[in-house]
Amino acid sequence: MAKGLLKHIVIKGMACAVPKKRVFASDYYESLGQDIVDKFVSMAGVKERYVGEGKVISSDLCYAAAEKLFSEFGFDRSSIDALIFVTQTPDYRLPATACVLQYRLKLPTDCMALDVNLGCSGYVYGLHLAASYLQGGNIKRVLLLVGDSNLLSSPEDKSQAMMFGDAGSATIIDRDENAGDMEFLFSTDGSGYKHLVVPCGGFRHREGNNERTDRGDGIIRSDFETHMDGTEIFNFTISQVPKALKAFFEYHKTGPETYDLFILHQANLFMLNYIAKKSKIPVEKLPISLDRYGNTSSASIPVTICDYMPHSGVDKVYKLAMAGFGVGLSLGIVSMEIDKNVCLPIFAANEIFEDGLL
Amino acid sequence: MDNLERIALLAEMLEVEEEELTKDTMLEDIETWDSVAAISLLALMDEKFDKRLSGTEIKAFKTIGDILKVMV
Repeated sequence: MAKGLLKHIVIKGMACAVPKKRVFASDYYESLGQDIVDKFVSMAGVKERYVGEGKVISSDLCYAAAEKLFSEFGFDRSSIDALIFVTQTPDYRLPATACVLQYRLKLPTDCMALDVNLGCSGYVYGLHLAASYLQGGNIKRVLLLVGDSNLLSSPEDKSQAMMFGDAGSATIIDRDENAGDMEFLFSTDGSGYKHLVVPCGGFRHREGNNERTDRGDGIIRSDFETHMDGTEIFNFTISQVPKALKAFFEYHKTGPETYDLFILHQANLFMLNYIAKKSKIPVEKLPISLDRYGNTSSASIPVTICDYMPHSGVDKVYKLAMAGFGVGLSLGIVSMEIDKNVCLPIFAANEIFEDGLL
Repeated sequence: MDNLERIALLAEMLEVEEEELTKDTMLEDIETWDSVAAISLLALMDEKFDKRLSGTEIKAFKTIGDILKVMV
């Protein structure tokens, strides 16, 4: 049963970076039609987002976020014992991008570095993994980098073209004997693998049709682009997420009243409101960032925190419940305390790493 | 739940008057029956009937009566 408690964990810093280029749903009026765009906005809630267009990518954004933490809080680079990079858009098939980031960030060579391939549930998994490393006492500080670039959706797929935004986050997590607990619960339903998948380009199907073809319902994409069965994902989310929250509350003997805020993966506004209503989470406890940042995949939880705290947060330590859910199908809920003052405002980053390979 | 209550739920979802809907009403004649309404229907089925509809089932609906049949 993947549920329980981890002890002595504190977040000492959190930062998020987005690319400079801002796009608006209204930019698609001509290509997709105003009616289709307005309907999408009313249902999904995404009015604007930031895109790197394949130039500044996930690792660049996470690099910028990490550098921001070093410069604002003065963390000693040599104190980082482990670097975890969670993404589904890494720089290369190999080596792990975390190794490249260890080099770029000038971290000590006696630190661990690894990539984790998860999307929507990626941040909560990353927090839990970092916290697990910290339980032993030998690893004292983890740098968790989580981010994604929206480069896998077809721009001619009207269900996805306006949805996803790019973002990268950096979180410093320490072991602290005086710090609070992390409550967690995870679940996986791999029978849903087909509902959100990029069929070709991995090793199951290295070859495929590179051309975009009409798949019906306004979806034109190639085999190397994301297939998303919106109905199945929606059904999974509206039924399984409230169930998981209920199991989480029961196991930890808590309820919606225990937590100051619920930070949910920013998939779709209608879905978020429905989950909140079903789980009896008051709407004032549900910050929303997807209207201005889109669905930033694995980074959506830290983006929502860094969007909320500097502008709407008060000077205190918040008890947050975070839930990531989606691609896999994978679901994770983690709760922990976060001091408003460790959350930096979201900023734009443009620096691209020159790898010297081509 | 009887059919009148079911029709009331659908009318609210489709933002039309209850009187406008009968079991024979064609979905293609309802202006508000679109992809947004389909999502609302998924939520309604989950909330009131603890049931999940597939995309294929929704596409096969032709009349209000087809939807009423699954609202159990």
